[in-house]
Amino acid sequence: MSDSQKSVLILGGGVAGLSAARTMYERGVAVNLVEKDDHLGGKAMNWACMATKTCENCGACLTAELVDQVSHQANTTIYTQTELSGLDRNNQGFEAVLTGEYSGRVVVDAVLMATGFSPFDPSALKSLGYGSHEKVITTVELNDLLKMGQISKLLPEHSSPKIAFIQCVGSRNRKLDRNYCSQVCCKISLRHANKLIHLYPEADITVLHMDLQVIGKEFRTFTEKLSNRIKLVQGVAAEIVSDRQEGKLTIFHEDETIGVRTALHFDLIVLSVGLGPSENFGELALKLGVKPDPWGFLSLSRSDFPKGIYAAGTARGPMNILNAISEGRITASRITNDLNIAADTEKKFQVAVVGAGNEAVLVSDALSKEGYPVVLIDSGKNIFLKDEYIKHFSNARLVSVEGTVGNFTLGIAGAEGNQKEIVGAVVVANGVERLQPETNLHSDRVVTLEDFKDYPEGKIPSKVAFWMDYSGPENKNNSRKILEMATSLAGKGKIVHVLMEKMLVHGLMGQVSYDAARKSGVKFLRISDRTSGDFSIEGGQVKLAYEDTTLPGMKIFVYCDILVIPEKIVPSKDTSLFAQVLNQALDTEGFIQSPNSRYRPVASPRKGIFFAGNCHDEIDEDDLTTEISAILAGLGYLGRNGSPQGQAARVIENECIKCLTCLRICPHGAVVLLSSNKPEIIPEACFECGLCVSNCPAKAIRQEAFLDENLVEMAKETDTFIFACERSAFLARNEARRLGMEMNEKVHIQTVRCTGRIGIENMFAPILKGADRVIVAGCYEGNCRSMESGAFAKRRIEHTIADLGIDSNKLSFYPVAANEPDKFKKITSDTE
Amino acid sequence: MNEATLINDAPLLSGLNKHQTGDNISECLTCGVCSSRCSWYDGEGGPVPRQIVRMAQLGLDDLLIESGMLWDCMLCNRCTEECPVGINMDQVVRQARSLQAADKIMPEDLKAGVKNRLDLGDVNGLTQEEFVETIEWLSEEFTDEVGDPDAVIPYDQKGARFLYLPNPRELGINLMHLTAMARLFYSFKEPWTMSSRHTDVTNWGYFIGNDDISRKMALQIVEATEDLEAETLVLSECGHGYFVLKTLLEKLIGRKTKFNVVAMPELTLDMVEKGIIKLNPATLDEPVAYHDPCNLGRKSGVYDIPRKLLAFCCKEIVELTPNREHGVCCGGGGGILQDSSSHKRRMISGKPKADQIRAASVKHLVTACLSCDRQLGELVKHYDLGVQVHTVVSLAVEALVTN
Repeated sequence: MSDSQKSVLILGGGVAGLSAARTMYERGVAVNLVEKDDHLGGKAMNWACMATKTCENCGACLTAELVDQVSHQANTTIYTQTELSGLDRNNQGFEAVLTGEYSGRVVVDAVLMATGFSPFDPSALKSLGYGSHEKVITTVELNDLLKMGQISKLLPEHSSPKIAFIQCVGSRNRKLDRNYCSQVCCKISLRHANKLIHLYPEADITVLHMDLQVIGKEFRTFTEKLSNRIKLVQGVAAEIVSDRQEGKLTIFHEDETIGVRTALHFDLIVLSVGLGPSENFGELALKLGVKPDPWGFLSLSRSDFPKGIYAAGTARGPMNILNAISEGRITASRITNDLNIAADTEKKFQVAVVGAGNEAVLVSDALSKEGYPVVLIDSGKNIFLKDEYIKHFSNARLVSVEGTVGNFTLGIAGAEGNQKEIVGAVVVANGVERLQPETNLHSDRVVTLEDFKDYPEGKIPSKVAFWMDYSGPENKNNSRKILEMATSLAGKGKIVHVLMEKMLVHGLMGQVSYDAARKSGVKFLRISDRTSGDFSIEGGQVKLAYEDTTLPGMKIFVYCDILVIPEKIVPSKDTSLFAQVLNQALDTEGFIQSPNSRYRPVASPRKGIFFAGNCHDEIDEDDLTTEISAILAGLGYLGRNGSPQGQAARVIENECIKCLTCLRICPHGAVVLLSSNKPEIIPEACFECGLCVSNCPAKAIRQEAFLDENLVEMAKETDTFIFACERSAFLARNEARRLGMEMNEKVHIQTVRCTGRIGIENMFAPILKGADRVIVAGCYEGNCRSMESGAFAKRRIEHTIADLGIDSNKLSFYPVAANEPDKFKKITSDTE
Repeated sequence: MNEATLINDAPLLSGLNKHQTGDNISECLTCGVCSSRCSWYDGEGGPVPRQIVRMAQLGLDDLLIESGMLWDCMLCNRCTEECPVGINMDQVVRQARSLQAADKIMPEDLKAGVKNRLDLGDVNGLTQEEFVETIEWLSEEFTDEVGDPDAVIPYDQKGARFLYLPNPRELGINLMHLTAMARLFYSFKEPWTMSSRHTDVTNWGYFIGNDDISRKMALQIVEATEDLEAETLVLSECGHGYFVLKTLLEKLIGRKTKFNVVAMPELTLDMVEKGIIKLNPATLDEPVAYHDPCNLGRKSGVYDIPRKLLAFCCKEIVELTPNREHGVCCGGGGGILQDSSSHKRRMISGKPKADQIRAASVKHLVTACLSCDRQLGELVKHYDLGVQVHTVVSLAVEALVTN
C-alpha cells in the first residue's frame, strides 16, 4: 500500500483505541497500540453481558471481537504493559518514548489518546461504608461477579434478595468537583437490575436516583417494562448503616407517600459509581501539551488540540461503549484525512439523503462539504438549502431501493413523475413528527413549545411555566430547549417554573446548564407523572395544580401568565414506509433502525444505508454533528474499501431453481435479481453469514470456506461438538482460556461466520461420526450481525428436536455472548 | 389533602440565596441526600431536611412554620454535610426561625432566655449582684479547699491574661464545674479573671436565627473582654458558644478583635503540652468513647484537640461509629435542649446516639460541650446505658497531678 509509511500511536487499548486501530488498519495506516495493562480491551472487556433472553444492546460484547480483530491485523504492533514516558515532535510527526515491557522509541505521524476513564472510588464518601460492609459494592464489582458467574457469592441461589442501587455516586456533585452527569450509570443500573431479576426472579430491587436518565433508543420502552418489576425511587441515599437489622444494610429514605423518614433494609447495595478521568491522566496530558478541562477530561474542541494529537472515547468525557467505538472510528477517519491518506484515490460516489426538515439539510450540507455529490429527496416543502450543488427532489417520495452498496437504484416519485437515480449510499434523516399536545383547554395562555419559540420578546408575560412531560416522558431535545429558554427568561427577570418528572442532564455540560438554570432562579417542580397535575384558567391566569414529589400529601397551586407545553414527538408518518422500502426494521417505539448494537449508532445491516437524527434515535445538535462524522467515516470506508471479504456466498447458476428464497431471507440485501430472474449475490454487500446456503432448497448456494464437508471434517469421536459463532461463542471460549477457567477438554469447536449457516444435515454429521452431543452456540437474539440469522438456527434446532423427538441433551442451541466466558464453560461442561 | 400556593417573593426566600454556598437553596437538586442523613434517622417526628429546603425554595413559608420542623431541627448540619451543591441547613433553618411569622412557634424558654441575656447579661437572669455574690462565696470556698490564699476566683481584673467565659450552668446548678475550672486556672499559674458583665458563653440569638441579636450578644462579650484588656478569651465547653464566638465571630461582628479566643480544652491541652500541668493517664483505665459536638466538630472542624487532651487522661479511646464529620447529634442541639418541654422529643432525637453508645460497649463517654453533656446524661438514664458522662475538661481536672 502506498501510504503504509504513515503510522499512528494509539494510547490505550480500550474500545475507543481498538476501534481506531481497526479503522486505521482498514485505511492502510500502521498502528502502534500502547496499553498499560497486560491485555487489550480496557474496562469494556471486563463488562458482563446484559442479555437476559434477548440482547439488551449495550455493546460490551463487541470489545472481544475488536480485540480479536486488532490482535490479528497486519501492520499493527501491540505494546502491552507499556506506557508513554516522553514525546518529542520532529519534522513530520513525533518520536515517542515507550517504557515498560517494551522500552524504546517509536516514530509516528500522529498520536491518539484513548486513555479511557477511572470509576469513582466511593471510599471517599465514608458514610456509604464502602470497604467496611461486604455487601456494599460498586457497579464495577457487581459486573465482575456477573461476568465470572460468581454472583451467588453474595446472593445465594434461589433466594429472594432485596437489592438497592444508589445512583449518582461521584456524579452531579459540585462538592466533589464532579458536577457532571456520568451519562451511562442509569442505563447500567437498569440493565443490571434487569439481569438480576432474570437470575433471581423473586428479587426485590429498588433503584434510588436523582433523575433517571431515560434517554435513547428503545430505552423508554425498556424502562417502562422494567418499572413494573422493580421500584424506581427519586432521591438517593448518602448513608448506609449495618447495625439496624441482623444481616441487612439499612438506609434512611423519605417515604414517597407520607413524606416521613423511614428505614429501608437490603441484602445488597450497589453504588452506581460515576466516571472520572483516567488515573495519572494529567501527567500524560502535560507531556502531550493537551489541556484537560477542569474535571480532567479532554473535552476541548477538536481545533484546540496541538497538531497531530487527537483524543477519543471516555478520555474526552463519559460516554457509553457504542459511542466510544464510534468515536474511535470517527477520530481515526479524521486522522487519516489530516494525514492526507488516499484523499485523491477515494471514490466519492453520489449519496442520497432522504427526509424533510432541518436534519436532512444539515446532513446534506455536511456531505456536500466533504465532496460527496448529494441527492436530497425531500417529502416536505420549504426546505432552505444552503448549498447549491445538492440535487434536490422536493415534494418527492422514495418508492424503491434496488441494488447494493455503491450501486443503489432509487425510485423516486415526485412532482415530475417517477424518476430513477443511481447512488452509492443512502442516508435516512427524515426527522420526527411533532403532534399537538392533547388538551381540552383552548386558551391563548396555553401555547406549544414550537409556537413559544417564536414569541417576540415583548409578547412574553412576566410569569412563564413550562410543563416538560405533559405530552409524554421528557426527551433530550425538548428538555434542552426548555432549559435554555427558562434560563434566559429568568435572566431577564421573568418568573419561571418548570414542571417535570425528571431533568435530563445529557452531555458533559448538561449538569452545568441545569445548575445555571436553578441559579438564575428557575424553579423546578417535581411531578411523579402526568396524571398528578392539571391546569385551568382562573382570573386571566393559568392555574397549575399538582402534587410535588418532594412534598407528599400536598396539593400545590402555581399561577402563571402563560403555560408552555411541548409537542409529542412520534416517528414521522413516512418512517414505516421508508423501513419497508429500505428493508429495515423499526424499533419498539416505531422509529427506524434496529437497536442491534453491531450497527449502532448510524449504520444498518444493509451496507450503504445510514441513519441520522431523530428519525432513528434521540439526537440533539451535538449528537447530530457526531452522527454526521460517523456517517462520513463509514462512507469513506465504503468508498475506499468496496472489496469482498473473500468468502461471500455464490449462486451456482445451473443448480439454481429460481425460488428466490435467498432474495427474501438475506438480512443484508446482498442478493439481487438479474434480468434473467436469476438471483446473484453481490460480494461487496455479503456478510458471509451463510443463511442463504443453509436455506437454499436446491443446495445451489456455496461458500467455499464453509462447505458442508469441511464443516465436520474435524469431527471425530469427541464428546461434544460445538458449532460456535466466530464473533460470540468462540470469542467467549478464548476469553475463558485467557481468564484461566477450567474447561471440559473433550470438546471440538468448529467456528462458523454465523450459526445461521448450520443446516439440519450439518447438525447431525458430528453425531453420525460419533460425537455424544452437538451444541450450536451463537448470538443472543437481537445481537446477531446477520439479524435474524442466529435466531433462525435456534428455531431450526427447536423444531428438529420437537419434530424428531431428539433428546435435547443431544442437540441444543445456546446463546453465548463474546463476554460470557463463564456461560461457555457451563454449557460445555454440563453433560447431564 | 393540604393545599398551598407557591409564592414567588416569600420573605424566607428573599433572605436566602445571598451567597455562593450555604444559603443557596435555589440550587437544590432535590437529590435526597440530606433526608437520608438526618440525625433522627427513622425516629418518629423530627425534620425532613429536603422538605425544609423545598418549602423554603418554593415560597411555602407558612407551611414550613406550621410543619414543626423548624424547632425540631437540631442545626447539627449532618444532613447537608454531603450536599452536592453545598447548602448548609443551619443557615436555612435559622433564617426561617427568624421570620416574623415564625415568632409564634418560638419556644417560650428561648424567648425568655434571650430577654434575660440582653437585659442582664445572663441567660438564666442572674443579676450582676447575684453574680458577684456567687463568685465571692465560691472563691472563698475554693481558697479554703486549696489552702492557698492565692487560690481565688477573680472577676473584673484588668489586664489578666485569660478571661474565662462560663456556661450559665456553672453559675447555677453546676457550681462544681466552675470550681473545677478555677482549679485548672490556678494550676496554669497565669493571671485570669471572669467578668461581672455579660457572663455567659451562650448565644441564643443564634438559636432563634436573629443575626442582630446574635451580634449584639457577641459584641457585649467582645467589648467586655476588650475593656478588661484580656489577652485571651477562654470559652467554657459549649458547642454553639464556640461556633458563634470563635468560628463565626469576626464575620458576625464585622471586625477583628483585640484578643484571641480559645476553648477550655484547647487551652488545657496547650498547658499539658508545654509541661505546665501534668495529667494522670490512668485516671480512667477503661476504654472511653468521645462524642463530637456538632458545633465543635462538623461546624468548626475541631476534632483532634479534645481527643488529644482525652488521651492524656485515659488509657484507651474508642470511636463511636460514625464519628467526626459524620458524627450523630446528641439529640439536643439547635435549641431543643433549652426548651424545657422537649424531654420526650429529645429522647427520640437522641435514640441513634444512644444506640451508638450502646454499640460501643464503654463505661465512659466524654464530650466537650456542656449541652451535649446534659443531653447525653439524660439519654444514659432514659435508655439505661450504664455509662458515665464527662466533659473532657472536667476529666482533665480529675486527672490533674498536683505536686
